[in-house]
Amino acid sequence: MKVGLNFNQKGSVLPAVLIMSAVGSALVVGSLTTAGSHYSLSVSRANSEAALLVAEAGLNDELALIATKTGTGTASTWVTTPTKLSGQPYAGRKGTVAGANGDFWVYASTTPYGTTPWTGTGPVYLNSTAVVGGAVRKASMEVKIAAGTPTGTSGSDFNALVFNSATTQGGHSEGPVAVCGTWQGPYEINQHTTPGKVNTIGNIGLWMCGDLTKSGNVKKVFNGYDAYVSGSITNTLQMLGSGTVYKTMDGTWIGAQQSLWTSRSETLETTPDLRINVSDPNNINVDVSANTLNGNLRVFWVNATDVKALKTINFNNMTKDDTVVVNVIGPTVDWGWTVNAPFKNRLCWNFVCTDTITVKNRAFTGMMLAVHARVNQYNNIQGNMIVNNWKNYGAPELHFTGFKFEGSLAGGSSTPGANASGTVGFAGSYNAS
Amino acid sequence: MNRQRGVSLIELLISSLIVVMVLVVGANAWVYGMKLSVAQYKTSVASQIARADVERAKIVGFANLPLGTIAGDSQSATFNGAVEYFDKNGVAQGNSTGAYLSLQRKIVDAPITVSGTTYTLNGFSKRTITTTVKDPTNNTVVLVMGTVLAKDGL
Repeated sequence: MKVGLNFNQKGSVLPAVLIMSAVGSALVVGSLTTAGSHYSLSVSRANSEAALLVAEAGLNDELALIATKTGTGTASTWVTTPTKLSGQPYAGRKGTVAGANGDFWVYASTTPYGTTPWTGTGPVYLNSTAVVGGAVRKASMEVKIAAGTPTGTSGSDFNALVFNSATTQGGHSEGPVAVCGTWQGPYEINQHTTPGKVNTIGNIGLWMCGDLTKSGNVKKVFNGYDAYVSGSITNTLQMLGSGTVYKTMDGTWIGAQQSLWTSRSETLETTPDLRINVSDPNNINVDVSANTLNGNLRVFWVNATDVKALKTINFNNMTKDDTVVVNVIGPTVDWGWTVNAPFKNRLCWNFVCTDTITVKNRAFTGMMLAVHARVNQYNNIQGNMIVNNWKNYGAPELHFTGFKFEGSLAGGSSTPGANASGTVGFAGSYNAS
Repeated sequence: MNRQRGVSLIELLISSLIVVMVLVVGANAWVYGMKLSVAQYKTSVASQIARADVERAKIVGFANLPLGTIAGDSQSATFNGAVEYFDKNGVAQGNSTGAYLSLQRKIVDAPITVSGTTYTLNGFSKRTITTTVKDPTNNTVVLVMGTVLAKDGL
């Protein structure tokens, strides 16, 4: 058979191939785009599922955080406010789920996803926004928050409650010690059997929100009591007995105590009081029963300069139901008084505006309530020491047995204290988007 | 005519080259597309089984999930669950033979109250649950999902 060639069709192969290639390429690109879209969609769905779980994690994380706070302070401070911090895309506290991708931001408000901060009463909703790989999910739930009942287990359970740093050269405390800041130097803690308590946590010898640093010997916690230290402790702490060192703790507790005791100190300073007569410095006698201004809360005052002289003060006619408070007025105190009282564990010295207290010439007896003061301790302090800073020289002691404050600063029958841990939990209303 | 025949030859060669290039690129694109499709399917199944596992943990609840091993610093405890295996449909299978995906749940508890060699959870303990899904053929992680449980929480 003879095949004829048609040369008029020359040049048609290349255009045909180009057209076919273009069509083929378009199909390939289309298929790839479709496959890519499906993959992206699948990843987005997975991220969205993960984001909802992270958002729910934020709600539970806030719930656990609230549970650590319901023992102290005012209710409105227990929750995270709906504040958007600089540089953050959403309002609230940022957190993560360890080991999983994404972040959450969680806060509390009076309505679901609302922006009105909770004041401590009425409905409260926790709101969480989570982002995982670009997927954003939100969740909100109503919770019930209730404070515990008063227990009297506030900072008065501690021999020393120091709101900021401490420096010690030696010595010991009979009772537990709480410090927030850096504590430098050796010390022997809780030599007697009176452990501290923070909310529902008991058996505390040392409550330390800060670093323990070493200078000379290590610090020692006695009698098997536990130490809670949020900061560094390397080679600075020795536990005597079976006490445990915990690194996880409520770092806000001491700050809440500072607010609490500052408020109490200011209230006592404005409570009706009588001046102690020091006109005869060799015969300072206080008739407690004669002060009837506030029932069994017997409030007096003296100038800071009055307590400098090396004299003795006698509190007479004091009953077991009395609480004696002495407001000491002045920026600097050089302590010189020996104190005689039938119930020394119901005696409070309130230094409301004092910056510096030196305990050198005589031992100090009674609760030292000095929320703004730095204490320079050369001599023993017999009772609770509630101060801003603490520095001791030599090896003075903190005595607690028989001196732990048992009075009532509110004029009632029990020692004022914080609340025990309250309750917090899901209240039944939940929604997510 | 001879000159026209030469043009046809060159045209044929160029066309063949284009065809080869298109075929090579197309084949690679097809392979890539298939990988995307497989990854999409694997991610989808992995997402379903991971979410289901976390939901199961939530149903068991804060108080009933198993306790773990206490860490050296006594501040936390970790429970590593058994590795589970799934086929291509996301159905659990008894062993690793021919498994399409594997899954392992991890629970980290903190803070905890330690008493000797055991521990208890308290009112502000958190139980962090993470579920990791892997491709058992090469042990690569496909995805991780996680959440946190609290006492009396969700």
